[in-house]
Amino acid sequence: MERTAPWVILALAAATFALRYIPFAALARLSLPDWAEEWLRLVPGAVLAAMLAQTLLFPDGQAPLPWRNAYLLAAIPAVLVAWRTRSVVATMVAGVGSYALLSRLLAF
Amino acid sequence: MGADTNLSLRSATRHQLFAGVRATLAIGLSVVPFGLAYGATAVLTMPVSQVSLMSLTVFAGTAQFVTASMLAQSAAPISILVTTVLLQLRLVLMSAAIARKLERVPRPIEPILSHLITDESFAVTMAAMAEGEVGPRFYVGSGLTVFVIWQLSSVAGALLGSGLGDGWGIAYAMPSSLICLLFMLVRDKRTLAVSLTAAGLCLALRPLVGSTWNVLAATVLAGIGGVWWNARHPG
Repeated sequence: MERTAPWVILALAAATFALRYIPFAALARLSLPDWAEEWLRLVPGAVLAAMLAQTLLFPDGQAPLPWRNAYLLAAIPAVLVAWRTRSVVATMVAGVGSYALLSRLLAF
Repeated sequence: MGADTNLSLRSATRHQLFAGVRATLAIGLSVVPFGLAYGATAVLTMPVSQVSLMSLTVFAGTAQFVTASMLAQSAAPISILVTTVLLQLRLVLMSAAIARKLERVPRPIEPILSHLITDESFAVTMAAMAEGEVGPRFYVGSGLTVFVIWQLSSVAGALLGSGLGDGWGIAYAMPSSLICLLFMLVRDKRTLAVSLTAAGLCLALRPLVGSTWNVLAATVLAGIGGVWWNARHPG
């Protein structure tokens, strides 16, 4: 993994550059159809939600019982705080704190 | 053109650059916790130099988070790339929108200007443009501010993380950030519906197509569903 990581990083850098530069240079003069703009606007939130669902329910690729799953349980305070405050710091304190606590409690 | 006008022009452009910096500082500082969390979690799977390389060349928080965590799970490089590209599709919209507003930028500096697009520099510049005469220099000031803050905070996070090590629940900084980012992105009922559909589809498809392609298939399908729904039920 140590050897593939730099290449993945550089490939990602190239792809991200293309996503930024091509529209900057070309789309300023052209424009996209409405449905394409709509799709581009909807997809990023969908990726986040899908990844999050999977990360929380299957940490380490396994599916522990929900009430033994520290990842899933720690998300409850994190979601509540994120919803109420929209603050990154507060969400992180709630999430990381609960996870540290829960993973120790559940280890017994 | 006389020397006087030249001088005042130069001070006006410098003024614009600093105006961009000043307007971005507050929102730019809100990037610090993300940078710290990215650095601290990424350093669990790669050396500090690579953590920093990614911040310099990719310069997109969410994509960097997701790449670091997928590398940690030894996901296939191609699936990491496809996932992170989908995650960053919004860049296409932001980049086209800002280029339309900036008009008449010299071709050779277009690549540099485009690399400075982030949620923060985009929001600040668009807001300033809506209010008055603001040009490329303001945008550069804004973009550089976010860039510098991001580099410093992600390196600081990496050093902090390698000092603390695993434990202390630092691994959970990643899901916490994703949760907060999701709440920031999902602003209306339609995006909420599409995101929830994607999450459900992703779990349902997992036994069929495995744990990386399910995310991509679910996302693309939910996005198409959203566009289709939008066409049928406008407004």
